[in-house]
Amino acid sequence: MEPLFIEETIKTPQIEFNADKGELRISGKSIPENTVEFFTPVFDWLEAYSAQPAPQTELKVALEYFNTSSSKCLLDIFRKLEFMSKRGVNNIRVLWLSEQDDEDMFEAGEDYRSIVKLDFSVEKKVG
Amino acid sequence: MKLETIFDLYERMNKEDIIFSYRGEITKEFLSYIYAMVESGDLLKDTDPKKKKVFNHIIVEALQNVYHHKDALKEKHPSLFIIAKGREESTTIISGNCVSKAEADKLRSTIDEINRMSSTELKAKYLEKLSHTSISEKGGAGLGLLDIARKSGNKLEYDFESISPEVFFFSLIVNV
Repeated sequence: MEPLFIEETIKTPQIEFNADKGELRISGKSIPENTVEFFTPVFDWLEAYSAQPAPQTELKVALEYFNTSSSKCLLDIFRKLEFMSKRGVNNIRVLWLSEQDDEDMFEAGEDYRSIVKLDFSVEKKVG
Repeated sequence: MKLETIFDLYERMNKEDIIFSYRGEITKEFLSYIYAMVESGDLLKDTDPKKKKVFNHIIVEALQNVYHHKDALKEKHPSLFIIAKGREESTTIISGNCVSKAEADKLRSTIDEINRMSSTELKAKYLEKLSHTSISEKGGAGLGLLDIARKSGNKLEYDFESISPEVFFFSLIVNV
């Protein structure tokens, strides 16, 4: 399966999804006006990936900040992984990373951890 | 514009300590421009990084609220966006746009409800809405005002001025 790479812009995050390694990365800022338009290829890719996942899947989210409509799309991504996990796909892990001094982003990660049933770690970046 | 009005306007802006003001349509291009200014720190200098982040966040939510509703009315009305120095070292972010009477009534009750909530209640409401609502056709998730209140830590101030029986000018004033 082809990897998905979307380069970061001033309004949208960098997306690096690698199906062979099961490594999914979201980083940067996510503040597009039309979040659905931006995230549609991401959901489509995940849909295809869920049919043939790698033995281990790790989604790493390291966002500086995001708007409220992106918060909904992020939840939909976690829900997708949660659904895969319920269907018996093992070894799915989410790692939410915030900057050392960014309590808001750290709290946002904890909020998601409380909503979805996934192996979900919320950590501060080291160094 | 009369020449003498320019100085009046200048004096008025000095008095209100206006840092940035814009009247017109909130377009994607305008938003990109503002985000770039926010990113470079040109809009708000000498502010601590934490406050700057809150400030950026509120600007994004406030302007996207206006952006998502820009085609709600049949006739076009210019929108307003102002950043000013507020009371005691605070910064005031003001967004203004025209809304229908029905929308005005809805906004009024939503904001009053938000203003009655404690920070714990705001968080609970935010999480409830986040996990139970979907993104509207306009692209918003209905979480913007809640998030602005949460991030600013202050009550939201607002005003509605009647332009016609059916159209109101809605201004949202957020102090950071």
